[in-house]
Amino acid sequence: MFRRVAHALASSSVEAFLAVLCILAGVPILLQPDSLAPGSLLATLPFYMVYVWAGTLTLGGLLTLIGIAWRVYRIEQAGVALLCGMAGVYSLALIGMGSSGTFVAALTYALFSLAMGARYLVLDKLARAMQLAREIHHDDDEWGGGDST
Amino acid sequence: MTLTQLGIILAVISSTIAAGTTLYRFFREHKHNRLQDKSSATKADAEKGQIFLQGAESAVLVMEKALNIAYANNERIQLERDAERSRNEELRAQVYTQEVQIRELQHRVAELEAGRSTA
Repeated sequence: MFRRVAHALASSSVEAFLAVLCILAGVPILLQPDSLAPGSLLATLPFYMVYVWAGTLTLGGLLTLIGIAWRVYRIEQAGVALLCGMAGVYSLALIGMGSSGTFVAALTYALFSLAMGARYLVLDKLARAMQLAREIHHDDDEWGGGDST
Repeated sequence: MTLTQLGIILAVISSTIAAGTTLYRFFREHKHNRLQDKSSATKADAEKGQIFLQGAESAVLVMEKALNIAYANNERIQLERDAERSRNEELRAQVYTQEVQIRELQHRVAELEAGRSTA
């Protein structure tokens, strides 16, 4: 069990790392939003939305990690969708600040959001392919093709 | 509301919808797969049952054949015994007839010997 999870996490290590990073960013903000939330978010969003943002970021990270560990593409995809959205929100908040100092950070988070969006599409294709393979395997069993001689 | 806030709201809504849709698909596929697995399991059980029934049917047929052979053997043995018994009776009757004939002959011999001695 542990070996299987470790192998799954290792095979998608970058994504797992980003998911952990998002959890590590989200949880402290949930605990102390006024002092730990980024200034750009506090300036742009209403206070309750900062909670929503941090909570969704944490949830996205958790779903992504669970999806990777259990090798369930759909759960991973849901997590990635949330991470994509929340990275996009942060990027927009940084752009909303309008200062030149936040440009690189805004670009970084925009690229992060784009990467997660692309990953979302790839995972969708993988999940569909897996489902199709499952259907074919089931049909094969139904028609007695399981025992190939 | 500024353009940035509008963008943020749109990003939050779209990502939440995307995640929700994906999770809905996951549960739908999971349910579908479980149903398929269940039907496969039922089918496999039915196949196993069919194989068992076929085996049992073959066993019954074999036993029936064996019983028929045993009955036939028993009947043959009985017939042989009957035939032997009737043959024995026939032989016994022959022996008895021959014994009667021997007695008659002895009687006749005795009569002849008595006639000769008288003569």
